[in-house]
Order: sequence, then C-alpha cells, then structure tokens
Amino acid sequence: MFFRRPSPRESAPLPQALPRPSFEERVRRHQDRVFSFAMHYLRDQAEAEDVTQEVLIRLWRYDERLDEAQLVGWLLRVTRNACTDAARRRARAPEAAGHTPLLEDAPSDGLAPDEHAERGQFRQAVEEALHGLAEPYRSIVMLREVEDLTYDDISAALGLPLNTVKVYLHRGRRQLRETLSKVIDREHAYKS
Amino acid sequence: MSTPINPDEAAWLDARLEAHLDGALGPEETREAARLLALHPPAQEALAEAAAIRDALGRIPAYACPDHVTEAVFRRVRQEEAARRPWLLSRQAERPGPSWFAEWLGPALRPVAAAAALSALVLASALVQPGARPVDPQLAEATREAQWAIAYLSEVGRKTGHTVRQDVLAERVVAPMQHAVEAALPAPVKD
Repeated sequence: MFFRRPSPRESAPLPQALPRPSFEERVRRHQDRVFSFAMHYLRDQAEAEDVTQEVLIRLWRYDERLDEAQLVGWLLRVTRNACTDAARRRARAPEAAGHTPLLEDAPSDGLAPDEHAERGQFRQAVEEALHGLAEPYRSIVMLREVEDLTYDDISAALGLPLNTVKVYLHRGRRQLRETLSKVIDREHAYKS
Repeated sequence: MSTPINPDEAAWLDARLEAHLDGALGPEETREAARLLALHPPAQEALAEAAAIRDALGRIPAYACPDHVTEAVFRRVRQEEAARRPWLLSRQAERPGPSWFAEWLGPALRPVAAAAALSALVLASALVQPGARPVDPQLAEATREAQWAIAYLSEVGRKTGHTVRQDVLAERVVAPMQHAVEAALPAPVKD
C-alpha cells in the first residue's frame, strides 16, 4: 500500500467560525477603504495609487497570517505608515510631486447653486483644516469622521490605547473648531 | 456680553460638547449640559459649529480604487508567485478549468492516477520486451521511489491547495522514469 489512509482526525476540516475569504475577495472588499484613506491623507492621486498597490501587495504577503477580525486595523495601520513615508519622500523632493486636485464638486442634492457653492466652499475649508492637523490627530479625525470607524478599530489601526484615541479625537475636533470658527464667522458676516 | 455661568461651568461644558453631540454623555451629564447650554450662547454657537464641521466631514467623498490599480496588484502577485515557485501553479483559482476526466477524478486523486499510470507503464515496458523476465530489482526500486515521490506530491498538494503542473510532471518524473526503464531493459535484438 503506497498511500496511507488519513485518520479521521487528519482528514477532518479544521474548526473555523467563518470560511476564509480568498486574497482576491479581500482585495475587492477593502481596496476602496485603503485608496480613500490614502487619497485623503496624501491628496495626490498618483501617490495614493502607489500606496494602495504597496499595501495590497503587503496584504498578499501576510494574507495567510491575518484573520478577518484584525484585518481592517492592520490594513489602515500599514496604509497610514505608507502614507507617512510617501509624505516624507515628497517633503524631501517637493518638485517631484505633482498634486492632483482632491475635491470634486458635490453631487447635486437639491440645493440652490449659491447654497451649493457655499457648502462646497465650507467643505473645502474643513478639508484644508483637517489636512492642517498634526499627526496623529489628523488620522484619528479622518478615521472617525470620514471613514466612520469605531474607536476600537481606530485603536487597532493606530496602535494606540482606546482612551488615548478618545482624548486625541477630542483634541483634534477642538483644533478643527478653533481653525474653522474664523471661516464660520466670515460666512456669518457675509450673510448678515 | 455677560455670561450667566461661571468659568468652571463653561470649561466643563466645553470639554463635553463633542460627547454631547455624540450622545455619549450619561443622563445626568446630558441634563446638566442642556441646562448650561441654554444659559450660555457662546456654547450654543460652539455646539452649532461642531455640528456643522461634522456634517462637512461626513460629506467628504470616499474614493473608489481605480480598476487599473487592482489589476496591477493581481498582475504583480502572479509574477511574484511565478518567480517564487516556478514549478508550481500559483493557486487553485488561477488554474485553467480541468478536463472532464481530471474534474471527475478530483484534485486528490489526480496524482494517484498518475502513479498508477506510471506503474502500468513500467510493468508493461518490462512485459512486452522479447524474452520477458522477472522485473529487475533496480527497476522495482525505481518504481517504488517514483510512487513515493508522487504520493508525497499528492500529500503536499492536498495540504497546500497547490498542484504540480502536468508538463513539469512529464519532464521531471515521467521522462526520467522512461529513461531508467529503457536503460534497465535489454536492448532489442536486431534481425
């Protein structure tokens, strides 16, 4: 007999809560989150594409070792690190980076054109203010308010304790408010 | 403008404005915050600003990853897999569809069938020769080695989900076996 019959224990499938998605499925499921974070962080399409590729290739390398529960946190941590590196490279060679505009016009939502323009301007001011926040406040506010992550996911993504995330989020929001209160005051003065 | 609440209360309220917006304050704190807000117009303005900022942040568009980025990732993964394991197909999902026979056999039985076919080839080669004689011990040993090698590949394939390419199997297993058989058997008698 050349082939040993596997014992029932050997042949039984490993106990798993959920079927493990393939690498392709994981990519399809998370690619937008990675790319969107990189776009918001870097505000440059070409750089965001490079970062997304780099992160998804790393996902392939570590795919077997990552379970679903830790995947989002891991992906965003790697994405943020890659964005930080890209921003650092850009700072060293600023002439190499050709920035693509980040903001597009908001879709029509029944607002009058002047109201729409006002909202668009305010949103742009908010985005500028967000981009002006120091790290890690920027990432925390972005993950919470733009990406809609839970505190736990943010904690996992940034490797920070939960309470620290809450404190930093509070500080980041407060800084945003301080920066934007001038814009809001100007808008009020313009309207009145 | 006179403030009807004291600075400590103002600071207490300011520290809780965001949590108040989140609805994260307890019932007592919520009541106290509402009371102070009603008395303190600057805090009302700050609360309205915070709400407007959140609204604007929530309207920042999410971006969809361009298709060419995903395609580039899959292409690079295929290249890296090919570079790492040139003798293995990348993954089950990327294999071309199996023939009806291979499909009928199933992945676990394919190497077994290959081993059986190889054994039959060796025995048949020995039997059809003129002046058939008992199988050479070296030949028997080589057959056993080949069968063990195929069994091993079968086991690896079963555990890893990979499989050996047929052309590699033909080149590295079947062809050497044929050469060994030809070398072990006596040369045909010329007329």
